[in-house]
Amino acid sequence: MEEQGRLEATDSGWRFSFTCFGGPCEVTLDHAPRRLAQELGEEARCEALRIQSKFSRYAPSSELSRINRGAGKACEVDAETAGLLDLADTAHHLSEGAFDISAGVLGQLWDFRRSGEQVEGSEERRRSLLARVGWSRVDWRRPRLNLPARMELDLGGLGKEYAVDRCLALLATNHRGALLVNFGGDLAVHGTREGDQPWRVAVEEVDAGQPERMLHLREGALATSGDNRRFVYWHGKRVAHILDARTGLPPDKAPRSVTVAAPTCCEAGLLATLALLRGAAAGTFLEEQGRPHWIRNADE
Amino acid sequence: MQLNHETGGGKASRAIGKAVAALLGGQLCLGSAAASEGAPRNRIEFAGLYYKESARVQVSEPTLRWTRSFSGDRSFSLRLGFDAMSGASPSGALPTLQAETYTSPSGKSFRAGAGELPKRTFYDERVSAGLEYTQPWASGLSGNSGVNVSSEADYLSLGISQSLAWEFNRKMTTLTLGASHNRDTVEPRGGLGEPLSDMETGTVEEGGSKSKSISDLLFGVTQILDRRTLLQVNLGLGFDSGFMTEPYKGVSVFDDAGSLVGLLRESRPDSRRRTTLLTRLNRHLGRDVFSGSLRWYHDDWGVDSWTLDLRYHFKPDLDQVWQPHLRYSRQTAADFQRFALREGEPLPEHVSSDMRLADLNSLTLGMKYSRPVLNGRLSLRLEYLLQSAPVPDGQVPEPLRGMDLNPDLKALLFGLGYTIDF
Repeated sequence: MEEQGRLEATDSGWRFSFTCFGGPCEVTLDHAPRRLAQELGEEARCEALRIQSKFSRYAPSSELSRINRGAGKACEVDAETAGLLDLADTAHHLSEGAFDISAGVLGQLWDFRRSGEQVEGSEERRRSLLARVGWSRVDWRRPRLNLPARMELDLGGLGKEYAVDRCLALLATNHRGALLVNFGGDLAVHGTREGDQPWRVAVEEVDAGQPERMLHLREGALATSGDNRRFVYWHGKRVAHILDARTGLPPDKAPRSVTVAAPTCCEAGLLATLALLRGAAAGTFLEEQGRPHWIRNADE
Repeated sequence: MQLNHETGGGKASRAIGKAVAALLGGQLCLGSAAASEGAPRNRIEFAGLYYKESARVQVSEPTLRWTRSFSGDRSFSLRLGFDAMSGASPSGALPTLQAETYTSPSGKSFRAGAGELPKRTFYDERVSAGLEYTQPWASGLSGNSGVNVSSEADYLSLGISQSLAWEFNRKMTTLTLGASHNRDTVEPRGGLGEPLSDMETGTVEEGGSKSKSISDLLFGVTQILDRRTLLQVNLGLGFDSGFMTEPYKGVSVFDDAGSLVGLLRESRPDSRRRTTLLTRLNRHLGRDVFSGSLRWYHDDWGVDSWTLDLRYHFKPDLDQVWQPHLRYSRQTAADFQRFALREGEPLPEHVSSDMRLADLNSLTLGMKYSRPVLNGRLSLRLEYLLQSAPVPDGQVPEPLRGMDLNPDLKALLFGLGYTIDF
């Protein structure tokens, strides 16, 4: 039996915690009766698990697996999947191909979990894997998707942020008080807290052991790309694990992490990822977007 | 910190903001309804049912249903069913003090020992098919049209149905209006006998057939009371006309000493008006759901019944569902229901010994379990049914009183279902 959620009291309400998207998730509600907090927490947990399982690359019964199995012939997708594909398509064009949901296979070139270095013999593999990458070769005409044979899609870069926005919207319809949805550091808030107090949220620092960075947030969402668990060494420097889909390599002089504030978590997350893909120009890019941001650069 | 779309300003921010709004926009206010928006386009449902009474009928009933959904909330479904029924069915006659042999006009006979319920052995196959089409007629209004046919060696049933559902009050209220009509024809094996004629010696019309029609109207209201509670009230009005007598069922005639003197064919009125009122409440309790319904039935044959049905969907996690089920019903007998007739008494115009028209108590206890298997969902169901309609002492001669003339019906039902979407 899977682990259930846990409800605990806070100074001003309740916090419901559970595990999803490979990490800790929590929903904080100000001024809610205990039962409502429990119910809404459960609802958020179910919705997060629904999105996780629908867009899982690994679960054979997921919608994404159905799409990937159908590579080589056209298939139809539902409205929710279509919305995510449209969003991915937008990000692909904005990044001139660097962001690509068909690039998941490139992850095989890097050992994220342990050393963060390129795996052996990866130069030949890189060329052969790149032949299976390229959103521009996918025929996407909503709602019909024609994924070329041997290609596969990975919505892992969007699912968690989308779940944050979805859960916030679901819960906001049933809760008048202030509300924070925080899935592993990607988060969004709703409503005004008592005395117009901001939410104080911790952004995980890239080096374990350093004090967390506290940010104050009154509205909108925050998302971070790059973190201390998944990184790669590139030209001797530890950089975020984001790979440029056109080369299979990390962008030149990529920061180690980027945190962006935006009206929605999906936007914040994508802007952070697109910024990382700009490498050294990450800061300039975010300035142009007019979004508040925090950049942590690679080791000296 | 200002996070408005206008102040974002950058090209990427604007383009992404627009795509995110499209992704979230259509779903924000719909809540869980958004989950059904992504409904798959094909669904196959298989159901197999195996039914075993202590010593009576056993039925295996595989059905297959294919539903194809199209854009714009249109859907089409095709259902195919095959029933193989075999075993022994009560003939309508009561047990006797001595062993008796009963013979039908076709020469087929069956024997029942002393005190044993006389039964007719049979094997029947029924093939059934149905088509349904659902489509929106206007905003909030959807229509469902259906046809169905079912055929047995001696029975043919043809039906049509039409219903309308109107959602309003921000989809909190649904009104349903439905109508259906069935035309059934029976051509009894061994010929058609006159009601109240002697089952063994009476003349029969070879190849004779009779028909009946069954019409129903349904008025329903479904109301979402709050985000966890749903209330449904359905009123059903039915009108049947034609030949409703069961051609294979008879009524025993006893003399005062308790000896069987004959077996007469049953006879039922040629019209029936039915009224049904059903109230159902569904309540979400966290992830679990409680569902309870109370049904009242009345017809002008004198049958009144109350049925209580309670179910609880227990979800220990997101995948598995356990569903305990309890159903209890009490029914009063039809005015013309008699387990037996006395020799010499004036023949009533209508008489039937059918247990289903008698004073009847019925209890069902069951458990259903379902979980995902491969790419679909498997369900297993086990139910125990107990029906009791004891023969009132006043209906049989003195020597037969105290015998268990109509033993309780005990049945086990095992169901297996599999649903897959693709």
